[in-house]
Amino acid sequence: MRRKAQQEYDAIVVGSGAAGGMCAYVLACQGVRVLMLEAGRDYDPVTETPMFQLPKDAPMRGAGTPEKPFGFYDATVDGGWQVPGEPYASAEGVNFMWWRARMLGGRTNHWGRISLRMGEYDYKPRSRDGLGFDWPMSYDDVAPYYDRTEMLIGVYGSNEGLENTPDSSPGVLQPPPAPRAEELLTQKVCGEQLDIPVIPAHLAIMTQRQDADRLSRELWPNNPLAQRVTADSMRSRAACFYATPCGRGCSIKANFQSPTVLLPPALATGNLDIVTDAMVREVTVDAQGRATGVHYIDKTTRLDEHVSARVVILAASACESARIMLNSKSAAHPDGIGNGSGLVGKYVMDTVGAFVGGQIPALENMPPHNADGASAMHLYMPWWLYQEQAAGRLDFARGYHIEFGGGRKMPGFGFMGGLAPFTEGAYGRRFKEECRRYYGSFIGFSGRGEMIPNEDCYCEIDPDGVDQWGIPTLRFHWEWSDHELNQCRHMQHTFRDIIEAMGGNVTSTVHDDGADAIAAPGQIIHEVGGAIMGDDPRRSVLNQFCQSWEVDNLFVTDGACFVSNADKNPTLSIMAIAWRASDYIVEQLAQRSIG
Amino acid sequence: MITRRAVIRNLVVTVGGGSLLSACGGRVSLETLAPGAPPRFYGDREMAVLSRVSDLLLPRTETPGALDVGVPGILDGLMAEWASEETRVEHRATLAALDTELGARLLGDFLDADSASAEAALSAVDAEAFAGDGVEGYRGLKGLVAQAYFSTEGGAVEELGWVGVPGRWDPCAQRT
Ligand SMILES: Cc1cc2nc3c(=O)[nH]c(=O)nc-3n(C[C@H](O)[C@H](O)[C@H](O)COP(=O)(O)OP(=O)(O)OC[C@H]3O[C@@H](n4cnc5c(N)ncnc54)[C@H](O)[C@@H]3O)c2cc1C
Ligand code: SF4
Repeated sequence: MRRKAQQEYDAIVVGSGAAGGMCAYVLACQGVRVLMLEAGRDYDPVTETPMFQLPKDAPMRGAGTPEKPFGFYDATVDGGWQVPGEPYASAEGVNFMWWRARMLGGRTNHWGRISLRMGEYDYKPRSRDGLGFDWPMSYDDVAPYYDRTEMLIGVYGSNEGLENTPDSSPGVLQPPPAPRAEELLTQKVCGEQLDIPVIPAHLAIMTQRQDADRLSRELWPNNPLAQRVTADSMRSRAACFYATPCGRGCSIKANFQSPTVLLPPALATGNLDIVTDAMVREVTVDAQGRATGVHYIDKTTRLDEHVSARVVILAASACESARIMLNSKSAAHPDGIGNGSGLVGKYVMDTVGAFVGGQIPALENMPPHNADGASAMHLYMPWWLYQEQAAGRLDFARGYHIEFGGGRKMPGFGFMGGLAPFTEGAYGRRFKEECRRYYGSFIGFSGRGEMIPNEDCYCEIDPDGVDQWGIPTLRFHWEWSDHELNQCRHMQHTFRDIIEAMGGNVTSTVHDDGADAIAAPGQIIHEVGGAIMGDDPRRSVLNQFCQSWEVDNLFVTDGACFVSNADKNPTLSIMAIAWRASDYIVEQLAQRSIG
Repeated sequence: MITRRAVIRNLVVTVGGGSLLSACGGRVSLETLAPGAPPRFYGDREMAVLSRVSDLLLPRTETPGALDVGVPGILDGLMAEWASEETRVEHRATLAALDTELGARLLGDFLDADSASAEAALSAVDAEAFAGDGVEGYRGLKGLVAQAYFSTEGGAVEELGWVGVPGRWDPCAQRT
């Protein structure tokens, strides 16, 4: 996609992932002329997704390599833990891991599609336990946008009425798929012995086709253009056929990717132009310090280009957006645009992660059956100890949810690894029998916990670093607090208890010190913060509509605006908040109060 | 004990390493060895040892064996096209050490031994390796053979009973 920026634009959107895609869709549907600039290459999931290729047809049988860490067929065609020519640094003793997908749609092409709403408590964490910050809005303010986002993208799940685990409005969710054998066993054991709720997961995967007429009308009352493009897009999407790994992308558009769900209807309005291979360097300003447009490097020519618009919206992913702001220095903004508070780059958060694996004899020798399902998990455990925590009985302040899986998945490279220790000494016929016996009997539990923002976790411009485009790069600083480390220990012990309650054997180390179990900062790829919102311009970068306090025509709609990072995976919230901000931008543009 | 994740990581490290060829630049397909074609990586002796070990580990039963699905050819392609120099050197050393060790245990050439004695000797090497000593790199080699096998249709579908049913989701699993 490479349409030269020609006309005048109302808004420039930087980045085409969850946040950028959503802004472009919502703005274009409402008649705003949008130019999207994306640093990565054009990417078409319909023609490029290797949905049906088998591991045997891939180099290394599809296994991960440094260039394709999640396997040869992974949808991330460009980018990864390292982006050639675009380095970043970590302060001494810190190993920040920064996953960057450089392609149309960004990380939404691969992402895990787990789509959990943040709840009432999650928007007001400080009011509950005195730590971190409250958001400037409440769950009720965002709830309608969660409904809309779920209706638009298609999310399966159920309403269970559990504490701080919000229900969606009626008619919003799609039915969840039936659980697999190991999920049922986990549910039974957790329910009967451990009092841990195991309920249908929420994933952005369609188990049935969308009711295009109803949904488009409910999403866009009184907007025929938006209704038409949305309904057409919904009609082009099929339901999941339960056979191919979602991480490769979905050419039938059954799961959510920005380039299959958000960008096509936005383009169909005629109000959106997209320029790919456009690496934005900085936001430009006029003498008063108001945004006038952006400078970007055209990666195909390596030339510096400039485009203008009334409003600039950064959605390049949390840390990239912070980087662009810090690099946008001018007389009016000597420390970077919108950084009068000095808080740009501060309070970066990731999700707390820890894992324990097990082998479950009850799952051995299962009769052959299809266990692919919707590729990802069908059930999960929401955090269940809010009351314990409130009563001060836990040594960490915030919760975690549990993602788990195992079963008779398509065997690929790496698969025998878990088996090896159980089949030692076995050869020939017996080795085959052992493999058959153990196949599908392994299970893994991953905790995904809330991290509390702190002063020691931030990114800044590296005084020594520039990328191949000459753009100054980032350096990351990090320090966990005891809340995260203790939470990790609790995760590990809980997962061990679950495995043992299932009569299983723990196959990985259970650490008593959370520091030994915790995933590296950034490794869970839920980094948010860096331009936090708030209701006090001295203590935040943005207001509740993602609008810069200082530069009223500058918005940051990706995870950078996050004030806390609840255990709920961030992307659904990113999209709901981006939609809300976009509605506000439409209003403000119409009133001519900005731009 | 090791987790699946750790194993994948190890695999990437042992087979991949820093000097790996690029996996992103276009479509590289791993050519396996056509029957009768000369190996590109292994010497004759190495190929013969690897083939015999693969056959002993995963023989033809009611379902295909390692040789039926072309495991040695798959590994030959892997080493020729994908492995770093370091991995190649280590892999060769493992095969050579295994050959020597088996010869010493059998008091003769491993390739000449009958199946029962060859399997007994291999089992002993296996037990030692899983106990933590013995032939260096042996566990990795066993893993590679098995993974290559189970990544084929013969290994995954016929032997392991992996079922893919596109179109609907019917797990048919009852609560017990
Ligand atoms: C393996 C994996 C699993 C995940 N699983 C989940 C999950 O289950 N649930 C969940 O909620 N989240 C998950 N995530 C996280 C999720 O992908 C992100 O939260 C989400 O994509 C963030 O959206 P974004 O728009 O901020 O950033 P992105 O989707 O990363 O998009 C940003 C885009 O901006 C572009 N860009 C960057 N810099 C510039 C620049 N200077 N100029 C122009 N363009 C630029 C990038 O190329 C990219 O395309 C997962 C991520 C990964 C990688
Ligand atoms: S599992 Fe379903 S949603 Fe995922 S890629 Fe396959 S068909 Fe698409």
